[in-house]
Amino acid sequence: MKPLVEMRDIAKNFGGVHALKGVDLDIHAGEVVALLGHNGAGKSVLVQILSGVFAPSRGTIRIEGREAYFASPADARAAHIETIYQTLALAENLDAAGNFFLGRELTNSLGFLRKKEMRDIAAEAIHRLNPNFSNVTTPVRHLSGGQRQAIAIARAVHFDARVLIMDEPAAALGPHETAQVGDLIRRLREQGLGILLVSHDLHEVFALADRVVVFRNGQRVGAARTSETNQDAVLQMMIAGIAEPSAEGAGA
Amino acid sequence: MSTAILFQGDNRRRRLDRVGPIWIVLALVLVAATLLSDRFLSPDNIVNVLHQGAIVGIVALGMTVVLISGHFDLSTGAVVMMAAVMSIVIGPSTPGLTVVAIILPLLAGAAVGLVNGLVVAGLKANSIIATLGMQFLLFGGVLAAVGGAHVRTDGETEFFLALAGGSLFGLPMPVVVFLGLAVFAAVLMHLTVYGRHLYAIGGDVEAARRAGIRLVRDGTFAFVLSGTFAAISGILVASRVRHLDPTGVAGYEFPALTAAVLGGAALSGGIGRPLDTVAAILVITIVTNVMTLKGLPYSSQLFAQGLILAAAVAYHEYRRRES
Repeated sequence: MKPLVEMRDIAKNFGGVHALKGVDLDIHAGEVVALLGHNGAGKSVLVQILSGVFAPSRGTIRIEGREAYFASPADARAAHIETIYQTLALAENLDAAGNFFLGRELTNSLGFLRKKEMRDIAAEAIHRLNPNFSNVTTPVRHLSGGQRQAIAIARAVHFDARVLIMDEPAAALGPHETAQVGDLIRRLREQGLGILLVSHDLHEVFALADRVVVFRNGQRVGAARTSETNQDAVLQMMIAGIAEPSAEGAGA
Repeated sequence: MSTAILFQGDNRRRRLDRVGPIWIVLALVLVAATLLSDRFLSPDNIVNVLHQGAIVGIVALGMTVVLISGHFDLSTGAVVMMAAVMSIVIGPSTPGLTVVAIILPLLAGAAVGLVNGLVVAGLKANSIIATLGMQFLLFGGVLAAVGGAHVRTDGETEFFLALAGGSLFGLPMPVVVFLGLAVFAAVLMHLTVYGRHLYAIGGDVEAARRAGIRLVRDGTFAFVLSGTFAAISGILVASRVRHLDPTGVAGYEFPALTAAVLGGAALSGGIGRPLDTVAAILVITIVTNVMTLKGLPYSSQLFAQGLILAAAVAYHEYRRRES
């Protein structure tokens, strides 16, 4: 099956600094890929290239087989790649429904907001992800980290995300909420989304991901199915991995 | 069980949020005023209260919209003065001049707002400094233009005089204009995409940017609205007087700011409601009215206004921290 996302030989230079030195990454539908590596390994640069924040210095991105070029985050979103930022990017003074439709509001023929309809759609979409979430008219500042995450993810799913990039999704959450987000990610995978998970937490990675890809110093130093490796082996790659030849298409 | 109680408290608080605590204050102030002075409830006095609040109230509505966007507009007082002087200098003595004496100040007020907005939303200048600078610029400019002298006019058309002197449904025209603009502002802020986006910009500009909201265009329009509203106030001032000391029409921006904040608009942006500003204007006007009826001096009225503002800021900050 053709991958949802194929990134080939992606390099990114900032002046003289080679943040990424030509890496490959595939994400298939219905798959959770975890991107691992220490700070400065190049994970977040790759994420930002895929979400349209940076243009790569070299390399190609193909989405469902077609070559894509992202000049802005809006381009990536148009290609159904949605990013759940660590900070979640929600306006705290608006309620869940307001944030859900922010920038894509529904209006009637006179230009007025269709508030009830937006509330109902948002409530249903969020409820599907988080059954404990009841009131979409509460300002976001009163909500927990897990509930905020549910809004951000439900929004991405509702607007037809095919690929979801999740940058440290559990960083700001308590243990109970982390478990909820884990359930959520599994459900989205079942629905056929491709998920790129960036995380420092090996526990979380092994609980959620189908594959791990390890970066070190801007190069890809390893990849494995989580079912066929263990935390020690992955840690070993993160610390002392050696760049592997660019050949994802053939291997994992 | 404990969560049930928690949710109840939550709901009660939310209901209070929806009504706006300022309306409870207004009810209390109304009761107190009625008890304190038997003249307060007379129709003449009620109309008088509304009339006094209308001019600064219109400025306060624009201020509320700008505060929601996360900024201040301190140039509005100078815009009131500029518009009033323009109207009088043009001299609305014929139908043609009347139209000019209304349209030109409105355009000037909108233009001032446009410049404010582009400097603040476009160039990211601090709005307090930028609009304070605009205030000085306008004061200096207008005073220089009229040579520092008083301006006067004569033989205004009936229509122009009716702007401040006429009435509709028993309400003075400025009150009608004020309430009309309040409804307009409330509809704009609560029922349109523009209002929703302005709340988002004031609440979290980064979230708004990532949602694809046009920050410069939407932020600038808030200032255009504020400048236009202030110009409307200025035209109403001009309609009320024949003769105007430009330096006497100053300082509307701070009572307007007081009212907006008393109504619950957050200085940090993203929170505030035009109709709550109307209630706040009524509270302030009633308090000063009752003090006047009781024969208390102007100095104590200023003191009371200061006290109200301090209490309002303290209350709102406390509640926001608590939640």
